[in-house]
Amino acid sequence: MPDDATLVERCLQGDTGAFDALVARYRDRVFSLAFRMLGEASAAEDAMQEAFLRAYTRLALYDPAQPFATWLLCLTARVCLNARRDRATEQRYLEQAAKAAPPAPTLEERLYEREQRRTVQRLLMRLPEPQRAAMLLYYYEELSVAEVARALNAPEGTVKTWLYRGRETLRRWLEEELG
Amino acid sequence: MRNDCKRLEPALHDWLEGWLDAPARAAVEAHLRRCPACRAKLEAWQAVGRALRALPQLPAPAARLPEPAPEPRGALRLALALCLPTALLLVAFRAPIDAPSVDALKPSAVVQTLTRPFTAPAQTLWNRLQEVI
Repeated sequence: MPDDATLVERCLQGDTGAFDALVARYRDRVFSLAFRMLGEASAAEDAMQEAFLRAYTRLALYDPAQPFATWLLCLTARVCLNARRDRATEQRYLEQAAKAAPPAPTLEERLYEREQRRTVQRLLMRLPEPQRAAMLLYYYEELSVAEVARALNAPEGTVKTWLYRGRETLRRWLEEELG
Repeated sequence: MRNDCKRLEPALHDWLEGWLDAPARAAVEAHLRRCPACRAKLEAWQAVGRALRALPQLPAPAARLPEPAPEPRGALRLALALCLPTALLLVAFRAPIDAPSVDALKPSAVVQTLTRPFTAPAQTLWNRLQEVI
């Protein structure tokens, strides 16, 4: 299987099949990050499409000095931030949130670990947007502070503050919820 | 929580992430040695980090990804094939092409236009078109 750099090069030479291979390689990862940031599957799917579309149209701007995955995930994070600012998406999100009561957990979902993940995801959605984005890119996607700063167009010091505040807030909420 | 703990808290987080220089690191470590509350907070932060890293990757729904623009259909191709030479001829003979005014679009104005004799450039164009056809 060719590596990312080779596929990007082929794609720039007009081989659209190479881009399909990149999509196949990263679609789950891009979707997961979008879902963690947006908290809703259909919005995450829209964001995934937009992210791949942007990646395709801006592939010539990609700097091969950095990993393709990092570039793509940073791009995805920016798409998600914009999507949340988009009023229609925001409205849909608010409508979903207004339905309030989450569906009753199935027997399987009552398993402790899964319950904890649901709690973490729910609390993540309560964090202010830049803190959530920074937390997910840094902890979930394991990007460096410098990469997160570039993705969110913020100084590194600000990213470190978001990470500290986000982590402390999550700790407090988790302790309140889990006792 | 004591005041010095609260003041040190951001540095404590930076220490956990390895972002501090040597003097700041030493100051935090000195505090940690005598403060069980801050040690407990560190452990809780580590648990938060682990919980975030443990979130599973989710399978993306079946592909609904953007596709390349389709080729023009047959009718569109034919229209393009007919329009392009005509447009080129119009440009070549510099036939006057002005945006019509609202008055010119009235039915009476259209009838007048159709019954009016050709202007010289239009007559030339018509002659050339007949030759081509």
